[in-house]
Amino acid sequence: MRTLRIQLPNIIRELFMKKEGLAGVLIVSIISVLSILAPIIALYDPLDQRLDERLNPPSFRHIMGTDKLGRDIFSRVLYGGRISLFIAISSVALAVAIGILIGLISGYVGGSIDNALMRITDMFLSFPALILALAIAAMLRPGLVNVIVAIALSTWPQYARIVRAITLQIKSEPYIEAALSIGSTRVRVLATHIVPMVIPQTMIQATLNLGGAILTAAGLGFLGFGVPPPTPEWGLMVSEGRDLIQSHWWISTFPGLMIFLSVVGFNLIGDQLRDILDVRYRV
Amino acid sequence: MALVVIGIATIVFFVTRVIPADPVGAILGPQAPPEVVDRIKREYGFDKPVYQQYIDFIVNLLRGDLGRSISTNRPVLEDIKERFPATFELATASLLIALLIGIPVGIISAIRKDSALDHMLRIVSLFGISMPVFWLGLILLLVFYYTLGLLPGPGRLDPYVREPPRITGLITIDSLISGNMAAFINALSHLILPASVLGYLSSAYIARITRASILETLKQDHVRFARSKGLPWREIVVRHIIRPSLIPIVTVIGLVYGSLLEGAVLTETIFAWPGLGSYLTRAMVFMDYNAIVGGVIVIALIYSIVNLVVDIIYVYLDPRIKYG
Repeated sequence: MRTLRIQLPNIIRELFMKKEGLAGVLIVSIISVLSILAPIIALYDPLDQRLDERLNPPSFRHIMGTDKLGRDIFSRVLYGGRISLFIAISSVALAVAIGILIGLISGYVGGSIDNALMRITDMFLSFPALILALAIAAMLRPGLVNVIVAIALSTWPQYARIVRAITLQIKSEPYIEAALSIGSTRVRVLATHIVPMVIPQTMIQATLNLGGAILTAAGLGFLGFGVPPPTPEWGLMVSEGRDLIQSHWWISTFPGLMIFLSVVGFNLIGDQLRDILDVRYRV
Repeated sequence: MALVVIGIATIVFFVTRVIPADPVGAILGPQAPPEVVDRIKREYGFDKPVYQQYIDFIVNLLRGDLGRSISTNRPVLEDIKERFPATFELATASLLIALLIGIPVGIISAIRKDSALDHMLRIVSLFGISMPVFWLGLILLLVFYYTLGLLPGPGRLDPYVREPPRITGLITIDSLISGNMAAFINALSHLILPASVLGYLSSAYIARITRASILETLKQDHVRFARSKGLPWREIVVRHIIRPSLIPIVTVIGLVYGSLLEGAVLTETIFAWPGLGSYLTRAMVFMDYNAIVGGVIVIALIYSIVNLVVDIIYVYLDPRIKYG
């Protein structure tokens, strides 16, 4: 049972003690702060087209240059951070919600329902998730909510697996039996004794997947199945500069660099979390 | 395995049919006369109820018929047969690069754990797993093709090169068979950029797993025993550390192949590579139901076959494992 009790404050302290963890936290914080403060930092409206200033190379006026509609790329990159982080966090949250629901039902009810749900989960897992997300996103019309749904629908099975495993383990604990014998209903046992044990583990897994969610969202955006233009989304911005890469390198380069940096940040945190928890498992 | 493939086919089928989309409208445009739209819907069976479409679909699937593509107006299976070799060539070249770089990097990193070299290699791997593949492809094209002119641009062959006769569909192999060395060299140079992009991403993954696996082996008793009986370190590394560590890496190859197929969708778009990935994205733009479902089924099939082969190799490598 010890493995399941995760002490959050200790984990955060250890995360800050390691150089890599600290670097990850710093990168993610800087990108988050820049995105949140975008309206204050950005000098231009991200949608404002100024055709007399189109395709300007990076300069003091536009530190990342302007795109083919004369929009300031730095401002768009800042606002794009809001979109990309929002998609990543909400799609992972939705996937976690679906995963917890399916995992709890599967683990707690058991029997043929468990069997059926796990077969479905296996099918989803035996297939590259990005291609499934693409198929779903292509069928739904391009849009913010649809991207989130597409990513969540293709990634929930891993959470369902974890939640099911934990539920099975807790279900046989004496204190659950005690709760049931003093007359707690099954729903009450689920809500008060099982769900609180399941959440920290899934949260950790979710953190590990945030970087991947950013990459998937950017990939969808790049192929044109993500958020529709003129929204400043990083993947879409890379594709907008694609045909001009030879003569105007800055249009694609900067948004792509932001995707890369934010994923590096999340992966640094994820790696450290994995290390810290591994030690704990063996104790 | 057949069940998994049918299951995935079912999931994708319902994803395409349940979500309200208008494939015929997407092809013909909003101005198309309604009688033409109706005729095409009838021709492709889109006017039938969904359960009837599903039954037809499964029956045809079991017969090996994936239907007709709306956008190319050819049987989907024909399209896929034509495009599959390009993806296979790219994925195989990438896997070779990934293994040739990933495994040695992982081994060196583990044996020199916490050295400056290890830190550097780990940062390079971290960058690899964090890289948006489409962006890396663009930047490399910018540097090596547009700016330096060292490597050829998008496509599988330059237009001035005489194409070898289609035997396997793999241009590198076909040109060798037909003795067309100019085409072989040209095809190979076209492969370098896309295969390096995909290979780098996968090698990062393989390097991390190799490193973890070797570090695990280093802690084991048989290694300590070999050291205490005085075997030379080099021999311990080769015979007692690398061999047992490589077994878990084999299972990873299946997963890596899956990520290569995912990466191929994006990489093929960047490099105008006429493979399955670019076929699938095109089908998605046109909402070409049969082509989407067919392409996805083929990818699922390839993925399952690779994993099956990996399981078989696993048993062969590790005599402790027996199935059945």
